[in-house]
Amino acid sequence: MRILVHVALLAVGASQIVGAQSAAPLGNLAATGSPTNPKVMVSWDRYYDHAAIGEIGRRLQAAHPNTCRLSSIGKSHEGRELWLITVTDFTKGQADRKPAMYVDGNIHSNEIQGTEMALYTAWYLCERRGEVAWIDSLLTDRTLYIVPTINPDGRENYLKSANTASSPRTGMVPRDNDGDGRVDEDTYDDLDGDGNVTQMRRRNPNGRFIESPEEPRLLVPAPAGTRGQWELLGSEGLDNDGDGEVNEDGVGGYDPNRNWPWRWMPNYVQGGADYYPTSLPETRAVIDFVVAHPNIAGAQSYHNSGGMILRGPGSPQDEYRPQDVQVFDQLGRVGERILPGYRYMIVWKDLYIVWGGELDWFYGGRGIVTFSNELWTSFKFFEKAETNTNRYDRTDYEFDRLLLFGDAFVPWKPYRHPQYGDIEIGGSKKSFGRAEPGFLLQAEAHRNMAFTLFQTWQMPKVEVDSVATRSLGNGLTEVTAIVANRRIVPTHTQQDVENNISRPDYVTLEGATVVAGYRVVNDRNGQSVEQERKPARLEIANIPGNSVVTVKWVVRGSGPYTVTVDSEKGGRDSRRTR
Amino acid sequence: MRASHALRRTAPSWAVLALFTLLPFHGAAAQRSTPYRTHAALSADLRTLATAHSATTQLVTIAASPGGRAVHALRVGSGRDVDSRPALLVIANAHGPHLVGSEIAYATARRLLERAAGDTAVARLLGRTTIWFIPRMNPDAAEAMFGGPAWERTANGMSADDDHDQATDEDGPDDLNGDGVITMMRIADPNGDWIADSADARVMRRADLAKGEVGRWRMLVEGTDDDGDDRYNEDGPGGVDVNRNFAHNYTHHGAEAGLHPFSAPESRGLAEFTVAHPEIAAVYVLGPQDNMIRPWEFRASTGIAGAATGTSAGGPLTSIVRADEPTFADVSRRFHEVTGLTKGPSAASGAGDILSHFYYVFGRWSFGSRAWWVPDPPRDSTARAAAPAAARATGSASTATDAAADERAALKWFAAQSVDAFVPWTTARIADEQAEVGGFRPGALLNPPAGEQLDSTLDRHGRFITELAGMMPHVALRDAKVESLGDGAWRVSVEVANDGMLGSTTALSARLRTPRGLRLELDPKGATILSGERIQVVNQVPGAGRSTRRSWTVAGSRGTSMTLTVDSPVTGSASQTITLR
Repeated sequence: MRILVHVALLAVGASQIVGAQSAAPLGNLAATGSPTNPKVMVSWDRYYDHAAIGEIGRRLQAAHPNTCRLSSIGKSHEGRELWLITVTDFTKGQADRKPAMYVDGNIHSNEIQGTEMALYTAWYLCERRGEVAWIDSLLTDRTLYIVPTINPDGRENYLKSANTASSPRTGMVPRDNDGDGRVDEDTYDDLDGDGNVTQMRRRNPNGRFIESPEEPRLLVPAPAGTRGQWELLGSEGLDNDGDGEVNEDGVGGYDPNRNWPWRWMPNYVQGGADYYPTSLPETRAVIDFVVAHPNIAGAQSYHNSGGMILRGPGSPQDEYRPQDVQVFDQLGRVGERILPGYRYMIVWKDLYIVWGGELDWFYGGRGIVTFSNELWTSFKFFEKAETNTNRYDRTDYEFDRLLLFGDAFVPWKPYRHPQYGDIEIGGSKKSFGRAEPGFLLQAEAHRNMAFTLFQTWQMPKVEVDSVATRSLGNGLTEVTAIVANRRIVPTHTQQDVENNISRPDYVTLEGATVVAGYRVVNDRNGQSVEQERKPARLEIANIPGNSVVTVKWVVRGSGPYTVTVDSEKGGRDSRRTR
Repeated sequence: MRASHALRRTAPSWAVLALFTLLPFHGAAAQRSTPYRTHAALSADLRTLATAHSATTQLVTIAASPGGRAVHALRVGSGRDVDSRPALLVIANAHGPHLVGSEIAYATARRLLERAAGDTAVARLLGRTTIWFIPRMNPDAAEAMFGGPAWERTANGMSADDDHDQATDEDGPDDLNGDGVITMMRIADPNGDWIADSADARVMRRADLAKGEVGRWRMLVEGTDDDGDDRYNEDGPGGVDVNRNFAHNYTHHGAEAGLHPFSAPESRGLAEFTVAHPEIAAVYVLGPQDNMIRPWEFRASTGIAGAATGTSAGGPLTSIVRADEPTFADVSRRFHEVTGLTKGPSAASGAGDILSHFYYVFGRWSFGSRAWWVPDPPRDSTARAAAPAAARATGSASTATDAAADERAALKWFAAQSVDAFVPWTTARIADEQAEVGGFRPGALLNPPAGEQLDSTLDRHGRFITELAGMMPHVALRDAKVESLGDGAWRVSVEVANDGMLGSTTALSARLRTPRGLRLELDPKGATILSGERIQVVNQVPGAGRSTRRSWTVAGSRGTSMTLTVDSPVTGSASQTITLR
């Protein structure tokens, strides 16, 4: 599978798009929605290794120093950097004070394409800044923290070692999966040396399977009342440790997405939890980063597969507050529009129960509006919802035959197995089934990015809508200010409000001596609640989405007055009266 | 019946115990004004001890507290297999004010090391079992007991904004009456819930509204509103209570619970230490949570939506599993016998506490005791004494009535002992309120006074720790049989037995997959295995000499020798040569 890792094809400059021999740029008209003249060329039809991810980040930073910066949030177990690409308009404001969207991918080693979604997002924003007014506006007051892979060790193993489409899911910290006191001693074996771990089958007159009459590469159960010809022996491998089991203790041995400290549960409740919450260095690095960046208001953690826009809760022990459900629903429904074939779903109700998942810590622990998109869906085969693959469905074979010309499968071929005798090896390549085929990858990246940018736009943005004054006599003036958040997401989710996670929003009056300060709770009749302590800086627990909050002060002094609203997750805005 | 069987098989350490009672115990400590050690003194004493017994100890640091104090772990044991045989881990002081646990851990280590030279029973124990001691798990909080002023602090030195006002640690307790200790404070308030107890006006209790009583006082920890937010002591020094920072039954966003389980360096250091020491078979935790006076029991209950607890659908376990219940009962009975402590306050409820965590998450045999309490309380209900003072002020009316009776009894007992454990209520000046300051001295209800009470506490628990060390699981291969099946075929079988009192692991750990089970391997050498696996995993072997039989069919010529080995970190290993004849 080293073919897939074409770092060499990465090239700086449009002159190298096609035909390395010619230095002359190829004349072209940029397609709608594509960068006019990209400075960094990246082919979005392949999956990049760790070195390439860092290199793409470096090239983007070099070409777009005011839009993109590469840094690291920590190191993986095997010592690889957890690259962070920060994207914003660095010429305006402070990146860490703008409302921020956090994006990561690849927490499961084999779920690789989240990395490309994340890289594409960074690349696209860099290359389009200055070309599209909406993106300029977005990057003026928002920051994206993009961590293309939070599991670089597992990614490297997936890309460079023989694997199936589903292996490894775990990271690379060695664990004793079979309880025999040895770690990682019986992993898959690439018996035929083709870089893939495919299936093993053996002729057996008592076997339950036959070759599908329509698709001989596929084994299907023999019809009732007839005898089969084949038995299936599982994924390519040997009994490396002599315990009678094949492939029972592969690399790692845990689920990185069950190691997070919100409703973490031990193995008997949640398989893969590992020894204790945050036992993995990658988990801790992300947590430390997020805690240190209270400006993060939204998050996306890419997985595969199935075509889902997932929100929590992961476990039935939690229930999201109605105020928050409304926010997730508004975003999720637009997501379904942006991503044909994807469904907006709740993890525990619509998928399965997850204790200690990443998105649950983001929301439960930090009150952040978080989605996990399950990338790639069989809907994409023929853009029809009814192509619902199960194990014996032939749609993937048909797609392979008609559109990939047979590239997705390794033909069955004989092999002499030390334990099983004469068998055949063949089947689906690791790059097929869960990861996008090349020609669909960029489209998938663009659509998922579009959903993330929609969420980024809809994160809270506070502004001082208006400031009005009224003389009260005796040298006293009433100053009334309306502060607004005209985006969907509130400055504090209800989870945040109820657990005091972020500080309140501050609405501050300067330019006069404040005698008293109030939050107006009913605009129509002026009912208000006084804040006796420090009235010049009113503390507002939350500015909901698509809402305004009215405050007023009684002040001594003629002004002009400056009113500032300052929110950890909603930004900052000021207005000065004349 | 099972219990006595178990005890008979694990008797040898009694010989050790008898000798212990003769020893002077805390030596140098008795000369100090307080019998308890500061972090500096304890660290120095541990270093001295480790230096004096370098062949039988190893002193390591498992964490640095946010306050910059090392959390030490002292290994006691001899022999080349000291790190690869079953070990007992003694942990004290996760609850910061609980200093007596630190003294028990230190004194027991010292006593064992000093006796080992001249006493073959002790030397034999230390040659067979490894004991790790972590005497001070929460050193930042513990240090507050030593003045400046002294108070019952539970949080470590990780600064936190407890009241979410963008300032950290800005409103802690204050020593209003300048007596060097933080006690309680009562403020006259018609809206208050508290009244002075009619039987002893020093004792405060909640007014019983059903009986027509009317509250007169608010109860708070001694201190002022330092930051002017109309709240008292709501953001004191430090952040995370180590004894609330573990994973089982953790309170998310709870007071002093930390950002998440294991967010504190102390708890994470202990977690990493435990992962690195799979040979730890059992723990003895000295702290507010007890399961020795009254052992943990299995309670049938259902979880979320009627699903079984301890499953994906049903959520967390809410009690121990049934199969582990007899062992907890057996060890509790042994505790009663060895310590003479059979009645005592019930356990403080735990949330994220260290004792529960070691059973429910780390799968270890987990035993815990509060170590000391005012002797012979009238009733089984003074658990709240172990709660932080602030939490004590918020009990319900009925528990407060019981608590008042316990406090009256405690005051009588302290008076009889001539121990100054209570600061009489005196008027204090705070803002425009009518306030009085008084109450039990910090730790008075947790840590015994110097003298007979402390000596006997160190002695009792020292003996029990020694006893527990003798109960570690220990694997043996027994009763190997070779039967000829003719034509060079043989059936070979063996009993995999556990001679320790404790099961090789808890029943729960088979579901946890940690600690792992026993690895059993038959190396056939010149023979061939016809049936049966060369390598097998035996999940759990109960203790007290019970066993499980395994068999293989092999082919080989008469006289062929094969090797059978079995091992797990928590049981040690055994091997046997089997010859076909």
